[in-house]
Amino acid sequence: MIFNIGYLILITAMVLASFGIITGVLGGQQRNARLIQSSFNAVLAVAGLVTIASIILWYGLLADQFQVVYIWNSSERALPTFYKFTAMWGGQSGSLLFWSLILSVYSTVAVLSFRKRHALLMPYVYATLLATSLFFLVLMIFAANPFRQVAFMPADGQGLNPLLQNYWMVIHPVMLYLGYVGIAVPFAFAVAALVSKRLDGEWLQTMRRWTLIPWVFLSAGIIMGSQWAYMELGWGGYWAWDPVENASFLPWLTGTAFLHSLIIQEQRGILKVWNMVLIWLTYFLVILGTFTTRSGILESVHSFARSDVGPFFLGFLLLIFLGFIWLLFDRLPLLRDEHQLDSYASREAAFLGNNWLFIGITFATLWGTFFPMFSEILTGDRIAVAAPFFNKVNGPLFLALLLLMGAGPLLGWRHTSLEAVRRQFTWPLLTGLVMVGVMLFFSRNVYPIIGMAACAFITATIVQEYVRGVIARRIHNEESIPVAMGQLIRRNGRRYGGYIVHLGIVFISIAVIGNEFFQQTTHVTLNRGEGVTLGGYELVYTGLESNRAANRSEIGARLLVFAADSGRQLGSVLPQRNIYDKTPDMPTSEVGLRMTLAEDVYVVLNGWNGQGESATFSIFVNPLTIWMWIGGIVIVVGVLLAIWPHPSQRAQTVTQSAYAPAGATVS
Amino acid sequence: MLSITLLFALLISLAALAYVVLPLVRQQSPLLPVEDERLTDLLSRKDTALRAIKALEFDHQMGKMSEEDFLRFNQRLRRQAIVLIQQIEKIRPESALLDEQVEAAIARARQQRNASSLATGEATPVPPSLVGATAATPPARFCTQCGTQLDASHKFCSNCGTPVAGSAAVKA
Repeated sequence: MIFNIGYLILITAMVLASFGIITGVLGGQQRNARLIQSSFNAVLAVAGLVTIASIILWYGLLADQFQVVYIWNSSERALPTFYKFTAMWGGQSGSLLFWSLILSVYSTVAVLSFRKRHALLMPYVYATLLATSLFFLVLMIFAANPFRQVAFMPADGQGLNPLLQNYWMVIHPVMLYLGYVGIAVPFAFAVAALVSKRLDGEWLQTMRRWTLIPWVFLSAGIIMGSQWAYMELGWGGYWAWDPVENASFLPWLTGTAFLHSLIIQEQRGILKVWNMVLIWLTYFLVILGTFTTRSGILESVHSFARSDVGPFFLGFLLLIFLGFIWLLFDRLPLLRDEHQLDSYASREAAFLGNNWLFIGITFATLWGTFFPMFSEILTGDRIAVAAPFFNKVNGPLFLALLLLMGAGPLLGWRHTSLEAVRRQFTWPLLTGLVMVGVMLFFSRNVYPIIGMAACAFITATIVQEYVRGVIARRIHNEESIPVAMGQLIRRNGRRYGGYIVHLGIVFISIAVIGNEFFQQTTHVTLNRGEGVTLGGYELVYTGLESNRAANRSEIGARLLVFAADSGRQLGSVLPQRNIYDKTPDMPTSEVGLRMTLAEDVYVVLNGWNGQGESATFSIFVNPLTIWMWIGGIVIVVGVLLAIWPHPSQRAQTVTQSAYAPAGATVS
Repeated sequence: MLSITLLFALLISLAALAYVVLPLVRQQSPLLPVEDERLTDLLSRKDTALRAIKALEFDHQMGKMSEEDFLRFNQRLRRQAIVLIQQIEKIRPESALLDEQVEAAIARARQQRNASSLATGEATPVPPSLVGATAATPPARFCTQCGTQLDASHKFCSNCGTPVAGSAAVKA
């Protein structure tokens, strides 16, 4: 009944999207106001229809309508209502509808925001956004129908995958989708600029803000995924270079490069081809990432099901790739650099190096992710590529990137004289050297030493920038220090907010270094009352505790934590195993975690004997890991500072736009 | 049941379809924002040039640039900005002088207020920095854009390049 409506609505949306693409392209070419208006309406109409379809699916989930195959697969009567709601993105076809829903929201906001600006670009923006929507609608209608039903009503559903039944399930995919899908907007603008040949102008500034917003969601999503892995999967780490992790990381890499490279294009009118390549690559990697997650072509913890969507994705990817190559080569003359690089000791050169490093990491990661698939296709043997490869190749590249992150802001535009270099680099370099000295107490391995030194170097540069900025303001204005700092951030939000984001990256880096190089671990079986010592802590097992929740049993093992030297009790941890009624062979684990700024005590319950006379644990001491989550928050704060609206400029951009009477076309 | 479903779906679809097709069949064509492409380009390039000047000055203040580098690049950028402003003036004179007109209106209003308060015998507050100037020297002129004091013979501000229109310069 109602679910048939849902399916028919999707078909209508598909038809209208196709229509809107045609009217958008034609309207843009002919500058025909009627066609353009129709295309604009099509964006809103498709958004509205997709929203209705989503509401219908949500209704089905909340009302236990198990005759719908998707709902049967993803939910059950006993599932808490919260998870019934989130089950929309728990499986394939539902998550495709969710993708479309978020795209609808982004498209609506974008087209309404730019209703009165960029008049010559917008028709092509409409067309590109609709083309993306069209792809997902085609997928849902022909390969993965969220509303497919069976003729009878099953008594109960299959339940939600236990791994997905925690609060992360809500927030991590939503953040990632908001990040992924949002890239469609700057991509649409880039396509529109190329097609319409309007490659100068204010659209660059628009791009930057509209890229930062999905970027921050993507960053948050990736960090939350890491946090989920750390606290749920129980292997002591947070990142395994798993294909689906990589799928989210790849567009982040090119997106970050794009954000930085845009600055250069704004300031100096160079790197135009780079920027086009980077935004196309980011969009391509988003679609590729959705493809690898959804088609089962790469095995991973995340591959919920194999499906028929593969060929469609491949076709779309090919279209994006070929379309881009053609468009880029055709418009190449318009993307010529306005200036050259004046010197290698300049900020432009640093950003160029930045681009190359990010691309290097991207291709290394792509290679590592797809190599098993290619090796299987070519030789029949699936050769595994695991974390060691990625760490070995990407580690040094990230280190170089860190150093550049510190040095770049200290360099001037165009050229930095030797005297300026001396003035800018002295204190940060000294700080770095001091850190090298400190690190020599902790390790003889060159990587953590240089890594931490780089982090100290960057922190010093950021502090120096703020201090000198405040001093510079106070020379020219009578301002107290807090006011000067506030004004500095307000007037140069992009730069000073960006420094805060870099600080967040530094925090994440020290967490990575701590966990990677200084982790201590042991696996042990303890009897009740018995203890074990690791890394300055003593842990004593006292017994099992069990608890019954709605659709599962939770069994935990209590361990008391003492400081090994003084014997003082610091607290306790309760690692758990959750056994779900519907899937008793897929238990999940809750890590017993004690976090401090210096290190985490991290315990996983592997198993127990009888009533808990003895239990087996994996125990880790992870230094500095909490800084990763702190770093994530700092990044978000930094981005907020960077995109906060500026003191308004003169309204000159508005004065030259006038409205023409009916029938007139643009001169 | 099935027919009701179809009816609903049809209604929703038709509504959406109508919304999309309506602009094409309406008698009156919707208004299309008209943009002078060349002017938009010049304005955005001028904005870019001014922003680059601001960034350059900031870098110089922060000590990232040597004095000679700063002077060299500064001159180059300002010349570019002035050329762009001149081109903008040719296309749309009013837009370049918008600020000047506003400042002139403010100056006139101020004069009227000062004149009326002089008539009533009140002292008009004079900024301390200008006290000496008003007493002894001819009225100094200041750029309406950046506030730098203007040389009497200059047609453009030596600091930011804004053109100086005779009556629009703020008088002390």
